[in-house]
Amino acid sequence: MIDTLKSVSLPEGAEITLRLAGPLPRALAWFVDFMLRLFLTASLPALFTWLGKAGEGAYFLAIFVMWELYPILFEALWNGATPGKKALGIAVVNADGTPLRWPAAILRNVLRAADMLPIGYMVGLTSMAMDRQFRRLGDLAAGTIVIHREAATPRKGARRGQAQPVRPLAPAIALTALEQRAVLDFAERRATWSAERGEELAGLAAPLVAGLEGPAAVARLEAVAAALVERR
Amino acid sequence: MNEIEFAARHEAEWSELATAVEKRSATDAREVPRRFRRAVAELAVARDRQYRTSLLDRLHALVVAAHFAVHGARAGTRRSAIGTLWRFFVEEFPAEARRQWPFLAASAATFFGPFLGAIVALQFFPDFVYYLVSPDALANFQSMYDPANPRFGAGREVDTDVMMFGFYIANNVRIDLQCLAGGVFFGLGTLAALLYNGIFLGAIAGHLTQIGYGRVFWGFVAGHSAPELLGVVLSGAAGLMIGYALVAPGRVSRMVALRERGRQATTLIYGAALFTSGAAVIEAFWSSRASIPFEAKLAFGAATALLTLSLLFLGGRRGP
Repeated sequence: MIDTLKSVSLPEGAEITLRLAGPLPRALAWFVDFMLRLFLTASLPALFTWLGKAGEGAYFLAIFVMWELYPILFEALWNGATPGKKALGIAVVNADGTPLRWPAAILRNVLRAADMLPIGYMVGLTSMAMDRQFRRLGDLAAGTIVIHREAATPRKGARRGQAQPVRPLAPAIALTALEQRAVLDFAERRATWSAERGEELAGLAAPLVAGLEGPAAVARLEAVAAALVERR
Repeated sequence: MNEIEFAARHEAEWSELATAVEKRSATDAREVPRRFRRAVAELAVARDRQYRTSLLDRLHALVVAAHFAVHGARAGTRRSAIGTLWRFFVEEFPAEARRQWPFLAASAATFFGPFLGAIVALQFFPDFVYYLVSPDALANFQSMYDPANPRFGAGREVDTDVMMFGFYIANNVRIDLQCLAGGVFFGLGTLAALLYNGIFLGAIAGHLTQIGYGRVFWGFVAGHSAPELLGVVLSGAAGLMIGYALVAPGRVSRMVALRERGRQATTLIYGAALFTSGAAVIEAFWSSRASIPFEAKLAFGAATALLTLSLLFLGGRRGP
């Protein structure tokens, strides 16, 4: 089974869930980086020509920095993300959920040379396909994973609670924790569905909406959710 | 306290922590860990009380971001960067390299065996070189080290040196990378890269010596050969360590062995990077000077070799 979630226990006592990034966002991030580096590399000669032969050396050096050191420097110094990874909202972290440091950043990028073989990251892709955590060979050796980063502040325009206050109504039957969660999720995500879909879903909670149909069932379920929110 | 009251009471605190970890400036840095731990506790409470999913998600995202901010913070070091680098170079690196001596020995043998073998063999069977190197490449090298060639004349300018420096870095690092990355194919890639480069370089050196270009060639390579070849051997050793972890992981899984060996190998990689870039400096700014007499170049080469080897064998013996 493919599970893109990885649980990590923090020393502070909480368990956090990291969302692993699969081959597609990583390939896209690589492509963004590739285009960026291609652009920079192509614009470098203009910068260096006036230096003459020394400029040529500076160019070789800049190419080397750009293609070999770029991922190492960015991942070690910039929270585990190259500009491409940043753009895609992904980052490299150690498997235990701690931020990346120099040794791991160097090792995973040095072994990139093996992952790129024979063409187009075939080895890396094969390794990612066979590993539960989408790790390429460099990740396996360095003990790193690539995850999606979430912002600490909620996004603007994120879904809110109900628009108009609903009169709470205690559920007629005792609900398990999972059922309570389902009812709460229903009320929260109600606004993102069409009315028909909402009614169809509300109808599934038969014991709660006994006898009701259509909009009335939805209203009943929202009332129950309101009661759950207000419970102590 | 119900869910709404809970969220309202902590709202200000959460958004403050969020700003602090995202902007890294808003709050006093010493406050952040304390607030982080409080957010962790609040997440646990919210989970236990089965609060709304959106509230849990938000708290979780906050805790994850704060976790990376707190554990990613770098403490100010008391030693300067130069001091740390120096200490690593003369103490930690040689000690670690000696600890991994079987890999260093295997890497050195794989490289120097064919290298020396090719040199000696070509003195007695000169034509054998055509089995090892293509005639084109050979002609190229031959013209490069021709004593009559004005390329290594005194007229070479400083800016050409800078150009060659860039070129040497790029080229030598490519060889080092081949040796390293080949390790993940059970070490076979490393062995192949070491063998290939050993045979190739040995064939070139042997051939040039045999046809009488030895003075130019050995004069050119003397200065930088020790650090450069040590860089290759160190990369090879690091590659072999990675390969060995896969071939013979011991009493742990291959994954664990790979990570363990990989961590140890990074020290050798640092060393290889330092030696390789040092060699490129010498190669570009000293070795190519035709104005320096052959004897001085040999003496300088012997000195760098002595320095390199004594660093490797004697450095870091005193203990920290």
